[in-house]
Amino acid sequence: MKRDLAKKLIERYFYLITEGCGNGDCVNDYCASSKRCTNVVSANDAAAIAIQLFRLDARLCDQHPMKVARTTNNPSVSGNTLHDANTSLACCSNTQDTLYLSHDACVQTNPCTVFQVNPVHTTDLSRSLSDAQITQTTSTCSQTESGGSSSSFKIVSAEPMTKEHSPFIAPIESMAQQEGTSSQFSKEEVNEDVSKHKDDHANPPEQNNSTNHSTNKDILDRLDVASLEIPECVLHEVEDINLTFMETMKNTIKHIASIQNGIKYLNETNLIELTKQQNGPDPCKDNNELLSALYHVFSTPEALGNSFIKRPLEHKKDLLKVLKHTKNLSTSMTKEKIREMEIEKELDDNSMDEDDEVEGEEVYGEKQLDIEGLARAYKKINSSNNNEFYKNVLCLAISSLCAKITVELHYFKSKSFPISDKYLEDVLHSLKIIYQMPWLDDLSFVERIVPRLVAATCILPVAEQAKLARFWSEMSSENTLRRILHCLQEAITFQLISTEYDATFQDETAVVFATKTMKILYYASIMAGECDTNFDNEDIKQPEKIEKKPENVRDEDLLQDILINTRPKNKTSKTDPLAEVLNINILACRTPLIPISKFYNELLSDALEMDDDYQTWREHGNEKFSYMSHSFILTPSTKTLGLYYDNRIRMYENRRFCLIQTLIGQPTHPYLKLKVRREHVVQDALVELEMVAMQNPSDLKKQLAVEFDGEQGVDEGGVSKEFFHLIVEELFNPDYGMFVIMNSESGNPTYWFNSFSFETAAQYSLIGLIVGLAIYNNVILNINLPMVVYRKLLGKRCTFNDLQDWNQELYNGLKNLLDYEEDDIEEMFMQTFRICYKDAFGEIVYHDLIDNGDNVTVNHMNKKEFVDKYADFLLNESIGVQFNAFYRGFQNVMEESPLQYLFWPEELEQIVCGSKVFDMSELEETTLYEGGYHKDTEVIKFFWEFAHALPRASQQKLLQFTTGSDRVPVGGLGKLKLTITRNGSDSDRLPTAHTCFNILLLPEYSSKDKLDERLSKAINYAEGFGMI
Amino acid sequence: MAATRRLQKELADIRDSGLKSFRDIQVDETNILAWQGLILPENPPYNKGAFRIEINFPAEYPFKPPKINFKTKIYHPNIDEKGQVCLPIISAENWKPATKADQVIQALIALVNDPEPEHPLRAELAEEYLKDRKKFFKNAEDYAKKFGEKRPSD
Repeated sequence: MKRDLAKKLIERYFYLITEGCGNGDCVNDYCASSKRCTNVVSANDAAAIAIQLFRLDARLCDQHPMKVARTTNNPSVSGNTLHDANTSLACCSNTQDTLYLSHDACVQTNPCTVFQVNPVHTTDLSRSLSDAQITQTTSTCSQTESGGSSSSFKIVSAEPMTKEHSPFIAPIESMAQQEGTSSQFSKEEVNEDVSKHKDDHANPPEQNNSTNHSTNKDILDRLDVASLEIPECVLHEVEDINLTFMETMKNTIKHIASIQNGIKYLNETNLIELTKQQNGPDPCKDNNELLSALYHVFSTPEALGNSFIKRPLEHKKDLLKVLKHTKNLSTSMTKEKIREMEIEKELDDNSMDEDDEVEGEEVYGEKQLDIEGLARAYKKINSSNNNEFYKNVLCLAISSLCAKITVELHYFKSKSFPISDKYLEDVLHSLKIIYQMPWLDDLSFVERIVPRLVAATCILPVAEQAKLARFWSEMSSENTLRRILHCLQEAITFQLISTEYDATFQDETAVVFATKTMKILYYASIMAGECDTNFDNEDIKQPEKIEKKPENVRDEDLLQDILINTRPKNKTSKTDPLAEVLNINILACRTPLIPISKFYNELLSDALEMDDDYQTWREHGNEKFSYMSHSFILTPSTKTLGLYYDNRIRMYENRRFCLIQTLIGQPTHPYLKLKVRREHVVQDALVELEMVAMQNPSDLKKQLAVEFDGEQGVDEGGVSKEFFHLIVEELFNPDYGMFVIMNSESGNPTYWFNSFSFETAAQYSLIGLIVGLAIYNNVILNINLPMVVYRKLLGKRCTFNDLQDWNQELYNGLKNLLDYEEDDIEEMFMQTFRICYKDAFGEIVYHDLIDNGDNVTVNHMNKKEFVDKYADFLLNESIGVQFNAFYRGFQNVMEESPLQYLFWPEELEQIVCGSKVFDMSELEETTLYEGGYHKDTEVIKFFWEFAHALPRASQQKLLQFTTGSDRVPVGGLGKLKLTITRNGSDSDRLPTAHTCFNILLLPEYSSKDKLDERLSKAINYAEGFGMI
Repeated sequence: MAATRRLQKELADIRDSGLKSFRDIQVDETNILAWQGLILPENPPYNKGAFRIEINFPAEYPFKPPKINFKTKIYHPNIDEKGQVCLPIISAENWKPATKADQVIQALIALVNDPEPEHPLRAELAEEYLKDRKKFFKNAEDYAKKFGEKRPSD
């Protein structure tokens, strides 16, 4: 059988040399039809050359089948090769809307758009669409070729084919004929590599059958798609791209389009071979096989899907083969040698089949990408003489590939047809190959192909996206991922700059797709990052909510239910399906491979209208795209804005509710009103908030309005800032006993719950409530809690790894224990499961991590358990009571908020505490001036000189004085929007401030000394609100 | 007494070994985490006196390093006026739980014997040590005689 095939191939080469392919424009050097081949050869010579070509696997022209048919009694037209036959039904409409049926869009001779329907793969419809684009632009040039090729077509029309396909070809055929045009069918191609590649890309015959049985209606539907959907999403883009650089590429494309070579896939070996062959100075003019191979493979999902597949054995064998071929060339040919070769080839083929099977089992059906080989191949292309040129060809091919994929998948989705797994696998494999491209983030690429690439990526079903994410996380290097990310960021930025957009970017498909693709990358980065393996969600006992028993249901609750039922139904609608498939839990991730800040796109964040986006998110959850559900791309300050809208909307909901209540005669206050005495701020707040939480927890979501007893300040934000400041200062004071200071010797002291506190849980609840209210009311708090607390607030149960930022020293020590390899661990550490620590009063306390812990020594077997238990005790158990109360208070305010979806623990810390960078010049840059001041006014210059010269602590005081908070808001001081207003001419008055609006009232002091003195006095003696 | 089990053993080992340069070890029976002892350096200028030190072990010992304090004033570039020592072996970054108190004490004595002016706690002493060794030695000796404890005779 194999010998037959070899024979057939050699025969084909022979006819190629003696008779040619019939295409007058053929570019194959050996083809008799080619103009290059001038010397006439004798039959014997031709036979020798044919054998040589066979060994080299040289290129055959495509129009060959009929020649083979002549000698072998037409085997190619018989049914068994049907699945290989890339018979295509191409309906081409020229300007008069006539339809053509032709063998191949690429050799199309009409100035027209070509729609090619490939019966082998129903999905090929749209692939040809982009080919069509190419033909469209080149067809004018290739028109002259029509004479040469048409003759070969006629011979080709094969009867069996017409029969096979008659159910669905017939109507179009007749249609075409009615329109007075010719229709041609061709039976194409005994693949010269049948024996070699059969298994790689044979489509199951069943598929053919089903395709063949498709009804006329299907065909019409397909044509429908072609005319309706493509123009919208792809066509004009294709045109854009093509127009810009097709001009320069025209010749090449003509060239490529006219070559249909036999290369069905690429791998490192054959690519390198091709590059060796092609080193001519001008790739356009040479008979460039590399070029056509690149183009054809990179523009067909099936071909690319078979490229660069990892087969360790085959790889070596191919290299050997290359060596052998080169040797053989130098020796003279004998019949024995040919026979030897045939046997060799046969053997190779057999063993390769085996490889395939083994491989298939090993990798549970998923193709393995030969990443190293691919990288070398890309490098080879990049280092070749005409790399720019090849890149352009690739670019063109890829954009056509992506367009095909997009349209096909889109079509299948919209018709809810099943998509063959094989096809999806090919597509996925193709995308993997493309994303590995080292020059992906070249600006020209970003501009041309990335929009399409991301569109194709996003249209993949979730399961495939998950596979892509897994592939990235497991196989790709960090550099590759960073490059892809960079490329996506560039693409988004480029789109934003270059197009007019509406501020929600909902319809900006390129940006949306890039964002979605970035999501895949984001998950890959999380999976590749450092994760806690044994991950548990914090099993905080849900606060015993003050359950409203049925008999106590008040009217207003019912009313509230009615009013608030616009809320998203449940939380599940907001979890991302991809994350679910990948089983990602962001909280489990400690450090992603790529830092989260790399995912921020500042341009997008700044330009985005968060309120609209929030609205979309709120109403549609995951069903519709919103940036809230892709919050990784947003900077924390934009996310804070999202949270702010969430808070405001809920507040207004409550206000509206109050209004209605007022109308029906039950007036309540629209604000959460607190009246506290300055001296007893904690007690008063505790009592009042406790009352609210008991009676009507939803009141906590109202806007806070604080009034200090005996002071005139009206709360427009400033007074509550002061309230927060005071209460936090008091509660966190270590003398108060609720919190202890940890790590006081090292530079970064933090507060931690005092596990021996005498205070009641209610006090901790209050603190939690305060933190929640602060987030809710957009106030920054001066608390320095370790990251662990924020992780816990977001629902994580902390583990050993969290000790690192809790107490580095202890973490190091325990890590050392874990890493200790020597046998004398028991004698060396003499550690048992009883641990020892100091309480807040310096007393030593012992604790057994397990029952009877003092008698269990830590050894290699149980050291991991020891460390985990130790950490769990310190971070969770010992402070359980305190933290749970704290959490309960926090949840009272924050429940139902999108906090968990939006923020990483690090970002949550930033919202609560403000960012830590204290940059006064940033403040100066954004400060506004009123009342006759401008930035060049003398006193303003004095002011900034003074402000910059202050020590850090005094700068904080200045900030506290002007804004009511000494913390830097999220996003830096620049976000404060300080306004300095003139407050009369030179006088002895002190400067004053409206903290709620961040306004500083500054008299126009005559000298710098005076300003310094007055301002220093003001900031050092400022506390309390009053009239001056 | 889990964490202290190792300490007790270490203490016993040190006492048994009969170190010449570290003696008179006093440990409060109720709190084994605080040790006191006398070190007797061999090199001049510190061989003229004995210096009392205090070693404080944290409750988490050996996972956290002990801290060392000089109770006796000493004229030394690496020991400040409050008696704090900068000993790399017990710094938070370098600490290994497998390090024993015995090794810590040896390292301390070595530091006292041979000052490391490259990492000084008292820059002016380090400068003097490098530029005017004679003067430094004299000052250090005076200091040792004035504040140092009497060296045990044996």
